[in-house]
Amino acid sequence: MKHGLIAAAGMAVALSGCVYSGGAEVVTALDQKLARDARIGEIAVEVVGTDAGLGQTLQSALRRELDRCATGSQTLDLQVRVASFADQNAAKTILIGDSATLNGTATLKDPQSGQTVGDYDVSESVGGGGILAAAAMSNADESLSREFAESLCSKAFGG
Amino acid sequence: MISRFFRLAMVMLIGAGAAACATTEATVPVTYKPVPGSTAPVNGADAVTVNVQGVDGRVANRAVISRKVNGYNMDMASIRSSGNVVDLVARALRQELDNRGFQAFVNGEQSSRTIKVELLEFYNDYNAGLVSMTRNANVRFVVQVLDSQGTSLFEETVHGRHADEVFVAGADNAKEGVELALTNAMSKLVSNRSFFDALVGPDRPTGPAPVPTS
Repeated sequence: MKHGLIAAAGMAVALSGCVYSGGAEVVTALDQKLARDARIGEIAVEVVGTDAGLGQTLQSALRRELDRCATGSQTLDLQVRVASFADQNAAKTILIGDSATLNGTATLKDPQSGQTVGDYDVSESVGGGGILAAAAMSNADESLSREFAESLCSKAFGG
Repeated sequence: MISRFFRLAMVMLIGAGAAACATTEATVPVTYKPVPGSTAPVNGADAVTVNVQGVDGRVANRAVISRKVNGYNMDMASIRSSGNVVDLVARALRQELDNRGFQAFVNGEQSSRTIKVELLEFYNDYNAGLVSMTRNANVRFVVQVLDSQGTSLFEETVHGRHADEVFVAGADNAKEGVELALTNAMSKLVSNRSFFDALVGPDRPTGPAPVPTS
């Protein structure tokens, strides 16, 4: 009985999944009327000191998500700057647990005037322990890009 | 048996409380602790008026000063400053100049010297270890001294840092971390003789450069 419990606990730890946390913080809030009327034109992603492939992944995730949540007629441009991306250490995830993080800023600009109309800090993390968590976090760039885009949609456009 | 049950319940309660802390956002009043030690007046400082202008040049973590982390090092709840940290850095510099005999103002009137302080980073990063947390606070800014004509006399990037081990990745430790990093940055700046030479020295001469004679 006792051995069975220990084995079950061991299996649970080894197979346990991962969880997400994070969101967007307002630096300059987008005007509510503009948020309702806006759609996103150009999306520029700048990645500082990390894998350039992340830029493509994030740009695709932002395009997909923002086309869903910002469906108005007034075009705004989006400039995203990734300040840091830290991937998991898979061995550490399996043994004691680890996380992956994506940190950056998102600035909405009026293409006519060039003025900043909305500005946000975005921070996303995914973490966990065990074999399943390590497997789930193997595509952290994709999952965190999706979370980044969803957080921006939610905070800027309420979507 | 009851005692064992009670102990288990207490452990679970403490665990639940600790878990909730990581998801609870916090706002703290970040203040400036002046550089300890000598603040003897600088020769000629009493004849100099200084206008300190703060500019936000941060490209990340502009709305927060830190984030709580959990055991997996995931960023959790935000920790914010109740005041504007760009103003805080400008006021901290003004205080150090006042202490050394200058007449300094923040975003004040015309003066004989203008100091532009562009804040690049004001953030405390927690990193969870097996037993404790590493607290790594960084305050970075560019200081530029301009004469009355707007000519640059001094420019330097100042980096203040405070790193140590703490047991709680909480708001109070983050506040203390960035405060100590800010003091460290100011300490580096006021120990730089060239900074004060630019403040008390003459304006840079204008007009054509003298033709060298051989």
